Amino acid sequence: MSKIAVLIAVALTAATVTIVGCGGAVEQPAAGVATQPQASDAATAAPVRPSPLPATPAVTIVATATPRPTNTPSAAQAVTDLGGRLRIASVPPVQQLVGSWLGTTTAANMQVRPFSDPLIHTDRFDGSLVPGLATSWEANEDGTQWTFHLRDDIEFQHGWGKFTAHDVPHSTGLIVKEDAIASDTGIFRELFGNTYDDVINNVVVVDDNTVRYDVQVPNSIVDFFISAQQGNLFMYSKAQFEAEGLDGYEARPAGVGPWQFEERTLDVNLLYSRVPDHYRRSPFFEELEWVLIPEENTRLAQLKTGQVQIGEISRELHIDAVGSGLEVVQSQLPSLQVTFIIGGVYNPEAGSECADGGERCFYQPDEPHLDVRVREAINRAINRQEINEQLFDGIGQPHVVWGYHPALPGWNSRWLEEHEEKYGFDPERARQLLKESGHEGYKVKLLLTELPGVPEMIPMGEATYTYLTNVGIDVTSEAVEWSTYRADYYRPGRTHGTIAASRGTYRPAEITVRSYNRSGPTGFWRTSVDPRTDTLYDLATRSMDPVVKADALRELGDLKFDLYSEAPIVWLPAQLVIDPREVGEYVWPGNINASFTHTEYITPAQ
Amino acid sequence: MQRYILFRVGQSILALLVLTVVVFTLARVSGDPLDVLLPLEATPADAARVRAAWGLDRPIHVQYFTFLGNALKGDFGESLRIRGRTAISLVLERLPNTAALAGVAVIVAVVVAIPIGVLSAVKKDTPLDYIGKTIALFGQSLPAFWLGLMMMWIFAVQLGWFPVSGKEHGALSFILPAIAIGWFQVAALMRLVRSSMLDVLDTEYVKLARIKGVPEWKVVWKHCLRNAAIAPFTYFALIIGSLLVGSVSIEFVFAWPGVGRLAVDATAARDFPVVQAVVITFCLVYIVANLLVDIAYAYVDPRIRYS
Repeated sequence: MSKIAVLIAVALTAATVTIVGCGGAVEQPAAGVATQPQASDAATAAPVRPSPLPATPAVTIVATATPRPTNTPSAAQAVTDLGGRLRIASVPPVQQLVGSWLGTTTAANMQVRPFSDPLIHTDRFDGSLVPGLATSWEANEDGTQWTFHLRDDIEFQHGWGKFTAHDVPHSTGLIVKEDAIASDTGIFRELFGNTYDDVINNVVVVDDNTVRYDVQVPNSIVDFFISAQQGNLFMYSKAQFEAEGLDGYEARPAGVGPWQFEERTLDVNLLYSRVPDHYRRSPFFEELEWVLIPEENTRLAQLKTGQVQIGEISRELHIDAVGSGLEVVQSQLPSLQVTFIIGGVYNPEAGSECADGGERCFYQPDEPHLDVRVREAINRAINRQEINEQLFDGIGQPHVVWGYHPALPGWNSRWLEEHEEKYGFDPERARQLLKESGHEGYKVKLLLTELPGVPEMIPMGEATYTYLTNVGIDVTSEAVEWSTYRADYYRPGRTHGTIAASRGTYRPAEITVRSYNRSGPTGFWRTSVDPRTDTLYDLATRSMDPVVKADALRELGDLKFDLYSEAPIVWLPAQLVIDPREVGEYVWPGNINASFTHTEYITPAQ
Repeated sequence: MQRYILFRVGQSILALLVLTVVVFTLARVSGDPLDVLLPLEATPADAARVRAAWGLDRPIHVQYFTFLGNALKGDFGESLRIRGRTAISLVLERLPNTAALAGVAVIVAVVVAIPIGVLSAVKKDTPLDYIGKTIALFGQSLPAFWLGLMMMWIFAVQLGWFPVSGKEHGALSFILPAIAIGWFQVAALMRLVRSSMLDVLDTEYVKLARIKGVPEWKVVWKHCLRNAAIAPFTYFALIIGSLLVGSVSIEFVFAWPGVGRLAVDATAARDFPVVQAVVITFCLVYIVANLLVDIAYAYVDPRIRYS
């Protein structure tokens, strides 16, 4: 045999060995495994579907909770056979974790929420806070002590014993660990202590079924932070930690959720199995598998071929999906708010940094955006209806004040009534305002970035480029990565002369104000149009009187609305594509960082 | 020969050292990982705390020498994106998947390209040659990710012959991604084989073989191909590099859990330790492959000697 032939033969043999080594039998896509549901799964009441946009704004702050029936899935009444493996094709999370303190709320909600529960849960229909592991809770008058009464019938998975109040300070302490990068690490440190040990001291175990949070700074929405809507606080077994340490969590985390963690293959999948007799809801499928697929055309192909039953697909591919017999379903509540942030609106009177001209005083007196007429002109120049119809297929809801929604405390119905009059598309008026302000033809940089959940961000920015140019603003646009956005613009306070596309989630208005309008370290944009911003924010977050709180929030919203603080565009629901041959009903609120939650309520097609 | 090998090994080590500087620097020039990985709500104090916890607050030269010292021991540090896992463990976990895919792609390239290249040369300026040249044209001009998506659409979605993505379906899982990666190599290899064959077909010893009555198939497949195979053989070292690069987009499209996809995810998240581990592993493979081919080159062709 010649030398070349030998070399080729060796190559072929090696390749064959690698295939055999990595290969296996061809597996069939998951099919329904028929087993009888547990008696406890039976539905007891018909569901109530609230309107996504309630006419009456909610102004009540939860200080004392009353249990509400959440175990009432409508389709559950028709479920006679459990499904087999529910496969959901999803975008791989940036952080792959089983420890919720190691990533954002979005990452934790996807990967941890299935196998562990928070103290306070979220209603799948209206997104309100409802009992989870805590059956009820109350706060003292000044919001410095929050007491939670826990269920006494919960067992950790994998035999790690009973869930008790002792697990709560431990799980809370993990969120503030030195290397924690959870979404709520900052607020938890502010509220409960800077270190694990501090938290253990401040979260007091009253008895096995009662735990009290002693809060360092009075706060009226501690229950919101404790819930999994904003935060990463899921319950982990202290007993497992003491026996196995964090390695034990990595290998086989024990939770108290409706699914039990089975295994994960990084960048490939996460697999959970059904927990029978779960106190809230035992799933209608035997198994849940997140299939991690980065390319959305591939996710769509998986759906079309029945290899997955649910998939995260962007709106531009929905027509194709529907044409193939798939269905688009959307969240009960709006999930994302889309806006343009008007940069450089730093108020020197609002921030302590400017008292002595500190380096983090970002105020520049010659910034055109400090003139309210310029901000109004920007708002008048944008055709929101056209953006909604052309880019979002008309699914968007009106967005009038950044951070505010009719169903959230602090809403003022006046804003919606006056929206057309004050924010309506009027290029002529925009030109006039610019002329009056003396900033006609001023230069602005339009910063565009793609953000999860809104792939239309770039085309929306391109449309806005045209709108702004049309009224005489000298616009240059720049597409940047989110990290660049953060590093080059808002972190060093260089947002002068910029308008930046952004998106936020559905959460109490003060959270948005905290991040965008408030001065100080938590306000990363600091677009404070009025010096009263910080005072009103403090009042809204600290007052336990729901009326005072709502009034403060409303006044804040009035300032933002009347002074054109931002250029809000639209509220959007979260959307998923399902295979109706396999999936019956999926109702989820969508207000939990736009995450796809409440998977235990998904029913198989009957 | 021995001196040459030692010289080439020395060159390779030097290249790797320079590479560590380049990779380390470029990874940090790309930006701060905290801007990607920290939540929106993080304060400057949060950033400072995490930076210290991850060792990113130390002077850059200290970080480099720590990295170099640890890298020599095979330790590239802990992944910033997947806490609790070392960078090298993530690479080694995925390397077999990428290697397997590349192996199948090489088979595809060899099995398809050599016969077409030979036939194209033997049947020069006939319809068969034109078909071969057309395949080469498309092979070299079609982007691998586009080809992958098209094949997925036709053969997985419409015809249902293959799984859409992933590797859990065994041998069938390899077919589409391997063809998508290997198709460019088919074209390149085919053109090389064709041109080498054309040179060889015109030589005196081939004419002599024919005059002596050696059967035509033997002339072509034994005498000609053996001599024409030297140039394509050298190309194999380049193929390995191309396959590794090609794996980046194809693994993304086919959700293949290989090193290429790991590289994309790590780069997007500015996961320095993993980026460094991936790039250095890729380069190590590439350098070793080149070294081996250079040595094998001299072995295969006795006329080639180095001084």
